[in-house]
Amino acid sequence: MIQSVLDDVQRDARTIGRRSGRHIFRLCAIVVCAVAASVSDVTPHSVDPHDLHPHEFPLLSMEELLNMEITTVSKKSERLSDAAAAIYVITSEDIRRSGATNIPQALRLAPGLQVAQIDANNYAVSARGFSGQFANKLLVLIDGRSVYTQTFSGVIWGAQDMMLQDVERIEVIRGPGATLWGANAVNGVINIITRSSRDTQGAIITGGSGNEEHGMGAVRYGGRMSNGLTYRSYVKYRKIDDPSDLSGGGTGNDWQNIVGGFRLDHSLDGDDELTIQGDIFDQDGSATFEIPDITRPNSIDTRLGIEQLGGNLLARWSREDDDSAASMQIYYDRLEQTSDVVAFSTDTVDLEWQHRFTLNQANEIVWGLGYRYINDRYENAEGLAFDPRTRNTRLISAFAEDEITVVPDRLHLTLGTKLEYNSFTDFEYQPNIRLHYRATDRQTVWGAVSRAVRTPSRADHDIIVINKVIVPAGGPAPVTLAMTFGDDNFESEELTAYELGYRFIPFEDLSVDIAGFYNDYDGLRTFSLNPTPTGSPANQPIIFGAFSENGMDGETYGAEIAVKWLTTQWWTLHFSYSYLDIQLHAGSDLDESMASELEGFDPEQQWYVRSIMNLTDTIDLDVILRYVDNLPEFDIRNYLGLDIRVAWRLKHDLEVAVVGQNLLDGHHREFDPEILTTLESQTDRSVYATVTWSF
Amino acid sequence: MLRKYSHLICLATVVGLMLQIPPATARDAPTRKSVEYEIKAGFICKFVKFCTWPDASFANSDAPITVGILGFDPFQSIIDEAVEDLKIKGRSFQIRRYTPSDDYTSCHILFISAAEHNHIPAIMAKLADKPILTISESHNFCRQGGMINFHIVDNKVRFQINEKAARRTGIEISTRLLQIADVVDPTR
Repeated sequence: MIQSVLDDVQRDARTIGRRSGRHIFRLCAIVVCAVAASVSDVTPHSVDPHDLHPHEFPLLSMEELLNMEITTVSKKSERLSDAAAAIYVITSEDIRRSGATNIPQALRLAPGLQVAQIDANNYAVSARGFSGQFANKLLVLIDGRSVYTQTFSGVIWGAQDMMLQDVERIEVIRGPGATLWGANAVNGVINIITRSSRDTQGAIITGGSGNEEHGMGAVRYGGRMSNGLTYRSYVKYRKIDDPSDLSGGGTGNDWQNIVGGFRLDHSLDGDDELTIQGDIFDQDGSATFEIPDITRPNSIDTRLGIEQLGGNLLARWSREDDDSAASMQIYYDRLEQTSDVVAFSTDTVDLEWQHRFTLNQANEIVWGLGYRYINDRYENAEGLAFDPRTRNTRLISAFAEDEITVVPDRLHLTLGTKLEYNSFTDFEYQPNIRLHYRATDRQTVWGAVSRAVRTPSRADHDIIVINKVIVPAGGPAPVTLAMTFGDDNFESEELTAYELGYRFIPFEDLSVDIAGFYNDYDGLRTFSLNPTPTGSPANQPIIFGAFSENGMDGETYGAEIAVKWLTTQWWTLHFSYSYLDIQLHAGSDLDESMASELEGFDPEQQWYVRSIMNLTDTIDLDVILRYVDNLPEFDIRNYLGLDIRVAWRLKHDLEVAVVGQNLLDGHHREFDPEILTTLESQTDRSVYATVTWSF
Repeated sequence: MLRKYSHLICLATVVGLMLQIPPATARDAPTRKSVEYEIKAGFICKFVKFCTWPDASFANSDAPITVGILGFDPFQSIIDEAVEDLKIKGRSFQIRRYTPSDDYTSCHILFISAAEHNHIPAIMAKLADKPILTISESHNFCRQGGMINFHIVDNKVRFQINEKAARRTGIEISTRLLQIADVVDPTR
């Protein structure tokens, strides 16, 4: 159901994008219209346009044409408002008007997501809790390519930069999406979808600078080789200042990033579509690490350079007709990090097939197969190693889902499951059942029960880290080492999620979306302490080892509310509020303290108010005020963030914008780094200006 | 491991049983496409009824109306089917498709693909006030000198008209059409 709805949005956005440069507005309009259509579909029209042949349209009267709805009881009118899941779509217009300079900043627009900056280029992003630098329960895909790393299980956000002008939309799904997207889509899924090259024709040159954004610039050019074959290519550069440390001084954690890429779209005869795209990036910077050294007391702060290099190449064929759609996709992705603290490289090859068809009037089936191969290699360094250093892992998956129309236009039932085989835990199954009921023309209710798993990462099984070196006071050796080890017996973390949602339209211009959830987790990761330290008689260090184990259960519950109000043609208001409560339980005392620590990683309450105002035809004024609750684990206080963007279109192709981010304070803490601890940083007030010329 | 399989078997059985239940009265499979471009093609043909070109635009009184499509064609075969056997004011229609490098200045109606929206000033310069009814569906088209621009309001096709731009080229747009359009005056 979610997939089908998203596919529709995607398909419509594609067809519409193909037809209009204003597809952003159009997409919004259609979502709004879809809601409007669902409201008005009780009044039948005298002429049903779908029954007409194209040659009959010019024969209709002007009034008939003017009153004809583009879509009637079609898939189109069943989109987001009809998804049996908590979905929020960030459009490209939203991104542009937010003043975001990277993807995590744009994600702050999604209700119910936890987004916090850790340092210059690292962010903690999660949905419905369990946030962290390696937030492992949120799956992220860019144009169908997973950017969730098997290595640490998490997303290296700094490595996911792109030309934000080319992003068509970001779909944020809170709650499990494992039936369709597979393992690790436990608490949510983020799909970042870039525009077709058909919709990015022409050139854009943009540049800007500010107190934190030392320099950013991007160039994109899109062209056409023949009528059905379009392309674009881009390069983007960004250099960011180091964030402040806790006393307001510098952290030396400055970064620069260059990314470039291309996309080719070929519309073949009929309904076939071929896309080939690729990106390559290089980012480097420096950060301060606490490096354990067994020859010296405790750890030492060392400033080290890090470089990340990566790239991907993806090819996708898709075909679509009235009642079926199929796609086949293959990609290669490489990520390489060089630094003295940890160096690794990962190569991934992924192959995917998906097919959707209408079985009969009541059943629409979507099914798919997937294969993924990952090879990684580690350079073992002081204090951090992997055993074995290199490993090949495989993931084989299949899924099928049936969307059943129980009562046409009223009640839909979706049943499906994913079956996976992975190298760490063998078989996993991840079913869901979803029900969607359109109670009245302005109210819909949905509910879902689903199971999802977070499969072990390489680190969970194979990591060896020295956390601390303790040198006994006054005496010569032996030193004591506190270490963490991965464990091959570590199994998947499991979730059973119960969700309930309600959407309604009290007035024409006001829509309200409420979702509530209860998540029941089993086998969450903890570390068991080896009770007897292993040591040796000689001057060898004594080791206290902690091993990964599935030692914790827990529940989370919460609710998210999103309200959109089109007050006038030129002013839109958004409001969101989310509440989250995490209760974790562990068997042992040690785990219990770990459990209470983990409970403090996420804000209990968050809200924002966002105003989007077109002051004149050429001047935009956008304001976001957001509140994030305190994080007890890091003693981080609650804060209010205020972002303001003013943009002025001097000519239709030239825009100047001034953006202020986090204006209310000079700097504030948002999150702390976890392992390989770098210095704690603060997010600074940032003011920058950009000029964008498109022609 | 065995526990996992037993779950799986149970689940498969349950799913299997549920699929056996015949779905309640299903009437209408909800798989219909948009008719946005059928409607737009209908409008384009209808516009001929409400617009008058200078006499010099046509070789003779029953010369066909030439409709050009510049750039990516969103209509595909729809517009060809729409104009087949169609006659308005005694004239039949012919459809031409142009790429930006072609000479597209010898048609009566030019539909400019939204994909060309970045090149509109250049296209307008090339058309140089020839009596060609320019139509598009991109933001600001009328403010850039275009004559008719489609947009979607409440799931319905609407259009804006820049009457001055048409009049400058000698095309007269009837007040009936202006009454149902959103009139845009770029000089204001």
